[in-house]
Amino acid sequence: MKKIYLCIVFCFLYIPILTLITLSFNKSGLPTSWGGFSINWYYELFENQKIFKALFNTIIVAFFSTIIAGLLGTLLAMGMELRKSNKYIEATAFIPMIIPDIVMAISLLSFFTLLQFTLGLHSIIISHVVFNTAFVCAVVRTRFKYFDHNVIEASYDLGGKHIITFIKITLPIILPGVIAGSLLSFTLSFDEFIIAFFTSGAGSSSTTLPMLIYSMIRFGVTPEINALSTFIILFSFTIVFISQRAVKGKLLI
Amino acid sequence: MIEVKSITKKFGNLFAVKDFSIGINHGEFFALLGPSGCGKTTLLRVISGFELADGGNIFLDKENITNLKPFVRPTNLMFQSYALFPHYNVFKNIAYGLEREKLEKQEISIRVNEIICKTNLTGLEERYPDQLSGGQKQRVALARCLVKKPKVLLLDEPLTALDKNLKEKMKIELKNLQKQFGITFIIVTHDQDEALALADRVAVMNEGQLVQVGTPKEIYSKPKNLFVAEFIGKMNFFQKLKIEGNNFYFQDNSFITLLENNFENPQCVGIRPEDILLKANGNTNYKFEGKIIDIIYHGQENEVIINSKISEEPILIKCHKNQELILNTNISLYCALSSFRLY
Amino acid sequence: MFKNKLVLPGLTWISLFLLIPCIIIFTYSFFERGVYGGIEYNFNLENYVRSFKWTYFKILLTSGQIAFLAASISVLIAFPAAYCITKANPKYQILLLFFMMLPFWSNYLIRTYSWMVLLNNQGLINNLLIYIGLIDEPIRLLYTKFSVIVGLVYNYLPFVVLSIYASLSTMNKEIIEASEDLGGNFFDTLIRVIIPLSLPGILAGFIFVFVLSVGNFITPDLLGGGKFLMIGNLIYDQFLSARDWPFGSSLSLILVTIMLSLLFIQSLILARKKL
Repeated sequence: MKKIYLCIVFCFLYIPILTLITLSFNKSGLPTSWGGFSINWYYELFENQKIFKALFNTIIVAFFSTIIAGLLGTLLAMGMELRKSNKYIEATAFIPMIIPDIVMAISLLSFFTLLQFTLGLHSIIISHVVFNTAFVCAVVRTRFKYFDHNVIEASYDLGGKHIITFIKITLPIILPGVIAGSLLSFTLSFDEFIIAFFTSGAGSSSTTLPMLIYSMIRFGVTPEINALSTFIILFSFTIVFISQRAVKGKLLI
Repeated sequence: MIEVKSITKKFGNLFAVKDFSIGINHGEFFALLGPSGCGKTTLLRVISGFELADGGNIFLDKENITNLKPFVRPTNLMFQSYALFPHYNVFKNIAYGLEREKLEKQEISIRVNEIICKTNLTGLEERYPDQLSGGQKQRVALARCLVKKPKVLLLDEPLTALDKNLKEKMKIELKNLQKQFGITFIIVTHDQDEALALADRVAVMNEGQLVQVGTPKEIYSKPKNLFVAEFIGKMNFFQKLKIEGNNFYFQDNSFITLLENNFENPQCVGIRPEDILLKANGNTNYKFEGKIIDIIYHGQENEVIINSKISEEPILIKCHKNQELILNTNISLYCALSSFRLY
Repeated sequence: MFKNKLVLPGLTWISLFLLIPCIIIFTYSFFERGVYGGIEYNFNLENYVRSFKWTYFKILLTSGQIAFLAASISVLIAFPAAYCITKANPKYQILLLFFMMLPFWSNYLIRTYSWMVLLNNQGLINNLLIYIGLIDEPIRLLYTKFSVIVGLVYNYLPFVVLSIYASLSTMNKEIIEASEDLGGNFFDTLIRVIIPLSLPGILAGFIFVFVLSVGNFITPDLLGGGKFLMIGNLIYDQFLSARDWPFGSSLSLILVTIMLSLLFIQSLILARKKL
């Protein structure tokens, strides 16, 4: 009984994904009829310059927003766990995770417009850092729950001043959390659509991959999308595998 | 010589430690004993520098260390949770404190190996904390502090996390190590057996204040007040009904003539279970009757619970395993007047 | 708050680029749309009055209804799944959870798109239903409330399983055995012991799906067929097509208010449970 139920749930979760992957090898390109195995759509995908430009933009956004959010989120988590925290700090660090994307998108658009800020990749990065910081902070904080806070005092007691203690003790212990949080942040940023859409400004120079996917889905589906989806699914799964290893595997230093 | 002079520590409006003074001699094994929440751990953290005192001073060999940061204080603290660095192996854990002193690699290696030998950790150098047993973790925590040759080693509930058999073993080991290194040990504990067994002197604390300080023998045989008497060991108490002069009357109107009346307005009189005897001897001059209602076996020495007319509460006595006692029989019990104390 | 220097950079960033923008749209919501888009700085409550006119209020209600159904269905599917996982061999529990969560990490647009493919008139599901003879010709599955709910449940189910699993697995096994020992059969135990004790996880999962669904834009847009099905689409439209930013702002604030009150209710329920 239990096994059957879990099987059904897993089918529900995986059949849609597997369907897309299968269709990406469908020669006919139609979702309805199987026209034989083909990797033709992957060739088409690689010839599409727009996709490469969008991929490049997405990686720029994900990379820089992750670097900034990794730093801010880690510091925020340390401040909250090792120093005094209060409900205002907790709320501020929590809101970016739950606020509807659309609300965040329009308020950032209003903000940037009011300041007459030129929109582009940099404004997407700034916006993504907001929610990424909150997520990195949340992941790093779970890492703090794992370890005995006394080790930091033990290090002071044994003669390690603040900076030494941070480099030798605190950082190595939370590092898996920082890596996992950063990978999460990278995936979120890589996949994020609405906020990027609103804060990218007019013109196609700062189109990101999710924006391109959206227009491909919304306005005329081309079979290339299946091939692209397969790539993105595999890419996301790889990142998740790596981050799982980082959290659970042996500590790095 | 470490001198704690009227240390006060407040958390908000609450006094965790209040006007606490004590002198601890060099090489002494000293215990701070008290129920949980009595401020003993706070005091330990003030001595080790993790909490700053709101008032008072601490002197170590005449030097005022009250405001020294933990990392420059010549004291070391062994944490209750041991606080081993999870990402370092045993060797690196122990070497950490010496590396901070910027010693030569070779010297560090020699000193670490020496301490590993002395604390029976040979062969475990490469292990990580999560691969160690409770007792091994504790020895690493101890070695990590001892290798720094601190003037004072502070131990926060060092035996609490261990199981009963290991506890007994570690008691002996701790005492040996303390003698071997000649370092002042200050141990914080809520376990009276631990304090009495280990320490040269014990300070009993309650509600942030010092109640009594003395050798284990003094504390046990002459508890200063009701709190210490109740907290240390077991004791039978008889509520005061009537006192005339030095005569203390029991419930059945029998009385004892106390040798000393050490209190202004005593509440009760107390006697240790082992001072109530099954046979009369030259010193016993009070006798009462009782009925055995329960026998609790511990092995060597068993506890017997007696109902008697002299008290509403059951009375606890001790008897050797060879003594044949039968449940629900009446027996006579004898005590010396000198073993009664008023509280 | 400002003595703690470590939190300062992060909090500053979030305040500057989230709290202040929110204050801006809060202010906008009391003004009105200019003739050519833009903002006319005339203070009034017209936008809020307008939000509660039937044309728009209907959309609010539909959003709430869809979000409620999505959240309820997610919990109904997720609870037995989480329960089954806690009963599985401990060695495989983490693995099962991992594979439960895995789809959650792939791109949201793509996950939603996959249901466009499946629910299409010529899609796999219609073909399957025709093949087994349940229907004669394709029925309309896509671009309905049904497809939106399926999409939402699909996207958020893994998280609900995780949150219910978290509270089920921390529950002391002996409590369940105690209930059985005291004569409770499986359903008594389930209703009187297991569900009440895992309420925090169920509630967290429910609220999570509700909050993310009620303000969702992508799913109603792609699976709902571009109608103004939910409030998210309406806000999107006010900012990009209708160019009525003040009205869009007031809708956003209503959305945030709904969301925050739900979280507040959740915290109240959890606080009461502790007492």
